[in-house]
Amino acid sequence: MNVHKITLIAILTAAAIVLAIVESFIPSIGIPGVRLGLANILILITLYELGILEAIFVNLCRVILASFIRGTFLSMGFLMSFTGAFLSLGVMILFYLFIKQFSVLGVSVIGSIFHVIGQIIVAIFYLGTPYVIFYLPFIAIFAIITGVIVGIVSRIIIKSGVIKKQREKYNF
Amino acid sequence: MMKRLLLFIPLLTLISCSQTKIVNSKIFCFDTMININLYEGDSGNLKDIEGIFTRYDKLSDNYRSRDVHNVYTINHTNEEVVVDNGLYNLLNKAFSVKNEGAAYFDPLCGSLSKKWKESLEKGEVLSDEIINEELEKMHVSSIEFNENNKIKRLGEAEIDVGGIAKGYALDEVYTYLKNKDISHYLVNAGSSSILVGEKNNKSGLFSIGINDLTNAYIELKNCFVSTSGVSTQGVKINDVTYSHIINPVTGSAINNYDAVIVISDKGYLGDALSTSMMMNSVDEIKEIEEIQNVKTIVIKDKKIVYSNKDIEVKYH
Amino acid sequence: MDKKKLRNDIFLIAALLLIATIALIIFSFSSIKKNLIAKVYVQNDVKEVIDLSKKEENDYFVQGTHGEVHIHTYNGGIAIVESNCPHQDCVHMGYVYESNKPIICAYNEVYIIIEGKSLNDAELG
Repeated sequence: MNVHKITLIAILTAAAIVLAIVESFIPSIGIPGVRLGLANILILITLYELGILEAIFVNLCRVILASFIRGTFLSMGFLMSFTGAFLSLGVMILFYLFIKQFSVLGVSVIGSIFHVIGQIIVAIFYLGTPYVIFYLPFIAIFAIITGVIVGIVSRIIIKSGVIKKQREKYNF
Repeated sequence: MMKRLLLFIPLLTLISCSQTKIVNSKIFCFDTMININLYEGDSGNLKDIEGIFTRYDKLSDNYRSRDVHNVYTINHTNEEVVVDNGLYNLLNKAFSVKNEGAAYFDPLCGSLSKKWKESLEKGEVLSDEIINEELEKMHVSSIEFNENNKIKRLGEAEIDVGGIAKGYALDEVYTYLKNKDISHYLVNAGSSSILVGEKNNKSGLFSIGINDLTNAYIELKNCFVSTSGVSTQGVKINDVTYSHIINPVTGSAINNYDAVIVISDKGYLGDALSTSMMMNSVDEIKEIEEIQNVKTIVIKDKKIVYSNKDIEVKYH
Repeated sequence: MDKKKLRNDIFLIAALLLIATIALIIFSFSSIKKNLIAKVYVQNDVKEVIDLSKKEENDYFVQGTHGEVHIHTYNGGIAIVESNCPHQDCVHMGYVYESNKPIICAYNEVYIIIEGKSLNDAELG
């Protein structure tokens, strides 16, 4: 594969991991381990600029490597992250491919909501109590706000054409 | 410094542990959920009480054979059977409780009860022919109580002590708790027979809800309370409600009331009476109350038909 | 980007916010605020049942998977005040005075579920 493409993916992955770790320092209210999903900025950019497979790859790396670094591999937090990240990516891919009525902003918000839904589902099964679902509306509102921010930032970066230029220059 | 802190923490744990205490256990016996709540004592006591229930569950089982000689064993032979002392006494009580006011309590209606149950499950009323056949069987059957815990069944009628076994087991539990000096407890045998001690509050009274009435409850302590409660088990055919309580004189499965609640100081008696009184008139019930020193609440169609003057039914 | 798409996005966001807010209001109203009991679970066993309606101030210590969790009740509310979990999410939760809001210490597998007291001690029939 093109060296330049690999480098770009690596940079995107690294950025995603950094954001994932940074956001883990923000305390989560109510349910331990529920995270906002800032790293989705990079996932969205990868999806829109490079493609589905690449986005899946970056997502996978983000979840696993961030957990290695934080030392939470295979813990409840990791499972929540993993499920949330992939449920979110799955839905975002569906929207990207089939539901073209929305722009990056809409897709980002949907992705954000499903990110927390995935995390809460794992929390319910892991903790064995359905009461956790009562936090969903509260967290969903935060997720929507985050989704908007992530969507705006992603949109700005995509629109600026930074990555498009790289692709044209190095032919990938 | 660290050592002192480490010693201090377990002490705190000890102190905090004495604050809210419930030792609780649930087991499945007598085809229902038994809920044992002790507000003092330990899991050893729970195990002992579970043992009492398990023991009488096995002994009183008339549906299948267990690893000891039980009612099923007796029902499948006309030979002498040596039984556990507990079963011997339980059967004794079952056959003599009609002299304590439970005129309609006949432990020989096991076969008739089963036939009614099968019939009702199919949505059918049992034919008069079969009823009379079964009643005839009961009339010519009896039980011999011989020395050394030997029981001999004469005739083909089957024994069913379901209507007294839970109460009897609760009597044993009560004796056990008394011997262990445990006075704060609530033992709920399938919501049809409950043994209450004293609650951990000022009044010591437990609030017991009455499901056959809306939002009603009574406050009790240190007694046994039983209900016949058919409303949850009754089957309606052609606008008539048939229950699992059979009149051993007429063979009918139609009762005078929907539920009779009996409060007594003897578990086996309350249990047997709550069944038997379903076929008594209110006057007869009042008479039995006087003689046997029990208190009752009689319910039909979600209304109180009669309640003892010493019982206050409260509403939420 | 398409103005139409952007408009759709805004509708989507508004709709989602509305749903979430309505759900939040419903959950808030459906929570019970009086006659509460708190059940403290460690893994799946009930270790303590605390009557919050008594409004007593008490300390409870439960042994969680990785250490001891210190629970405090005050004025009808309950909170985890000390725990050795890395993120202290449960401690940050603070005091809870209503049902439907569980306090969860995932690290120690200690959860506090607050429910309305069932009105009777037992049911007959």
